[in-house]
Amino acid sequence: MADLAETLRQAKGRWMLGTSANEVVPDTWRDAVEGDVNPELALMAIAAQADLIALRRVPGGELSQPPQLPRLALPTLPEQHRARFRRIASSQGVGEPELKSVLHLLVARGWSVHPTDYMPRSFTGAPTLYGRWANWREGSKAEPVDALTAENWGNWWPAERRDALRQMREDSPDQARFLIETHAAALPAEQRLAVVETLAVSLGPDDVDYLQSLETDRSGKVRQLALSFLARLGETGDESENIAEFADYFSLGKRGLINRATTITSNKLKTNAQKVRRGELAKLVSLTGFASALGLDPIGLIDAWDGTQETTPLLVEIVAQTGSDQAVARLAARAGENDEFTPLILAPLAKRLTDTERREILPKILASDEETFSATRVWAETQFGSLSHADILSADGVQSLLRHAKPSQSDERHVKDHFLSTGLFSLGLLADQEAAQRIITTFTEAGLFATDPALGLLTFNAKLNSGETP
Amino acid sequence: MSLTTETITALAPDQASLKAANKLMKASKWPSLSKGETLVWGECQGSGANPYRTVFDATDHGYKCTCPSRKFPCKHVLALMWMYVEDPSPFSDNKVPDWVTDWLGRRRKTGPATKADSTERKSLVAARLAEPEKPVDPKVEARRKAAAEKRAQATQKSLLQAVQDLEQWLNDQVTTGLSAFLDDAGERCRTIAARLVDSKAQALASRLDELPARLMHLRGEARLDAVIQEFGRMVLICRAYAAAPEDPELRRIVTTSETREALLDLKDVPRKAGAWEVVGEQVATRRDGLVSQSTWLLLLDHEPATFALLLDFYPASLGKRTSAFSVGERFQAEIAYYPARQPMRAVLADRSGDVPGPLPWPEPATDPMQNYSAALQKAPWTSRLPLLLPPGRIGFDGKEPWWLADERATTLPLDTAPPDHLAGSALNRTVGLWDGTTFALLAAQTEWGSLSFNG
Repeated sequence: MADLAETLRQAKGRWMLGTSANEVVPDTWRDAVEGDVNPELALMAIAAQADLIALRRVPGGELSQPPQLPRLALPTLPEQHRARFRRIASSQGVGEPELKSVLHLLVARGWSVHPTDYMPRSFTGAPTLYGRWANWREGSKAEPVDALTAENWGNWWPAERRDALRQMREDSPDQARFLIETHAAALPAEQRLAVVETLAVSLGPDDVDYLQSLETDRSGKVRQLALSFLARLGETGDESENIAEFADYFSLGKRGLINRATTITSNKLKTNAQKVRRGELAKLVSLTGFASALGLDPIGLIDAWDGTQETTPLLVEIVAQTGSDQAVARLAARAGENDEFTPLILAPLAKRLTDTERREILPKILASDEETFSATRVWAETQFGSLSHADILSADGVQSLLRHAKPSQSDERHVKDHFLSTGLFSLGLLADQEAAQRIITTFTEAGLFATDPALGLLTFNAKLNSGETP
Repeated sequence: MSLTTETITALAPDQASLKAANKLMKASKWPSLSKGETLVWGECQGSGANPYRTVFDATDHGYKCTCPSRKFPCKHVLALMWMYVEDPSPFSDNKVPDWVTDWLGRRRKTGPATKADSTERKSLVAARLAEPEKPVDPKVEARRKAAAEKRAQATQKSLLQAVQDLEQWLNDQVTTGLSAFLDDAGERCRTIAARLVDSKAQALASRLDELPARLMHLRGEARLDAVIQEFGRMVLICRAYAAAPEDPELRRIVTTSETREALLDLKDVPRKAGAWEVVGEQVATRRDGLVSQSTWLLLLDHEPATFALLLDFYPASLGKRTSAFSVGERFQAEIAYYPARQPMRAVLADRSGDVPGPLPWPEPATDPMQNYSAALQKAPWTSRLPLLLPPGRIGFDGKEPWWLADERATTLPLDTAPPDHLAGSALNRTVGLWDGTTFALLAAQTEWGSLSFNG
């Protein structure tokens, strides 16, 4: 075979230059073409056949094999739903963020996506179920093991290790903290940050010593996270100067004739520089410090807050970063109370709530949200597919959407279509199966076609039975 | 043939048309939607003052729209079909309007999948049956036959001259050096292709016309190898045709193919009936303005592995025509092969319905490359052959992708790398096209189910 390869190599060289290959081919080939009108062409035909049949390229060395795409803990969508999913994925206005939301809905119903239908470019914001694929993307071949211990720490995929730590923090927070203390220092900054973040689950006074040790961490993000956790636990450092300056931007007052309740309002600012400074300070103060500077306790401050649309987001950020769980729940409960506490402004609090707290507050959030329900989507991320038709159809936003559903040829049609498609997509994420069907019926009776792409996710939801819930 | 969303997807000329159709599925866009026994029609408000009138036949998928789009079917037809399939309730039963009747009267029913009544076939036998009473003037008939024979002789003479010219041209390229040919392949191939067209050797001409584009995709030594392999095949074709100009396979390679009707009228046409799966579809626009649509079929639950190729050509300006196939689709059908030493190209003689439930792919041969060698021995001009490969994986030599058998005895270089997530799958069975140098993946059965690499 080596001879043949060498023969062909030499013959090709001759033909490249336009000279005869007669001298370099085997005798049998030469004999076969003797007397041929075009012997060079006959030789080429033989050479081509020999090349095609007898020779085949082989790799230069050992082939590297990409790691096998791991199976996820939930089954992939059944065949009949995959086509619907693909149709949603190709719809206008549906990009990575929207598809990741649909992945959350799938998880809530006990399904995962088929990798050929959708493979996220990045797994940030995707359900933790997809951690295995995130690790596979990074080229990890590690196999998961039964329980996370100090000894097998290195055998875990990073994403699954974080899940295990979160779970462990719920059942045995000290053990999880011990593992983090032992191993986090050896991790790269990004992974260390993600691991320390798991301390948010069951954060308590026992974590203070470790968190204080992180105040000198080499990563700024980790230091900031540790300070935020410490502030939630009431362990604020010396912030008196910042607090005093920040508190000067607000005034205490009284309202009501009989029960004179305290109110906090924002002072009017004269320059943009003052506004910028106020924003900077908000990132440096703790809720406890801010409240005490005004002579109140944190809950009292939240109850008294009567700020403005402009300053309420500052309070929300302070509470989300440094407030206790009680303070977070208290502020979240004010959702929809007035224009200062819209679901969108309060959205940063959502991640601090437990699943149970989120589930309880969702109807209130939905009722006070706008017709696109984009804020409700943020609040409901871990609760997709759970809202009943009673909760949904009574929301003011749904009534607005119904008005947009009426057929019209007006110039505002495209604006209405945008609201419809965004709003109905949100409802498709939020509704439980029965609610999805009822919403479809309501909107088709109002004038939409059942095939209207705006109803695509609701139709998918309505037909998607539960698979294996995690 | 029932209309499904998969069929509509297959009918769409491109993804953009489907997306555009998606936007039209709104009540505000369709002032009127109606249906009859088999016809469905509606009026779609477009950008013009008058709505576009759109109609389709739910049984044979024929359609018409008054919009000026050059895509066929247009987005209005696709939207109307999709809405009807998903939810026919907005379509009211109405009397067929005049404009639909007009269209119905003008249209000519076609469709490769419909079972042709033997009396309707375009054949001499059918023609005689259809008009038995018409007297035939023997003199006229004799003159007609003589003229036809003369034309056939002239054509054959012309074709023989064409293969002779081609061989001389090939010889010129070799004697002046393939290096010079590679530098000027486009111009040289165009010139000889034009001469071949004049000599009625259209099939050979388009093969040569496509060669420079094929070479453009290759690098370095692979380009020289491809030229030698293709020139070698052409030499064999020229010589074989000169020796047997009546051979139907060689005539097909040199000039044109038999029509579907003529093929089905032939006696002893090889046929294969059973459950078939569409394992791949390749659509390519050729330099001559035609689009070639290759649909690869695999006979299920049958050993040894048996393939068929449905090949269609149509003008690129028409967009994608009624393919009616989607990769992964399974159906019961009888396939009639064009007569050949290694039968592959075929037509659907009869399609009798869908295949209920999954059927396994055949067991692959122990050494699938033996099939390729055997095919070349029968028809050495074969340029590519579908192969069914045993369990394997995708591996990489640097960035170059390879298929690697689990037992590691066989490795095949791939023409393109599959997507990452497919490269990471164990391939229980793989179907693709081997051209002697590289393997083009078409479909595979994996733990994730059947995966398509090109559709």
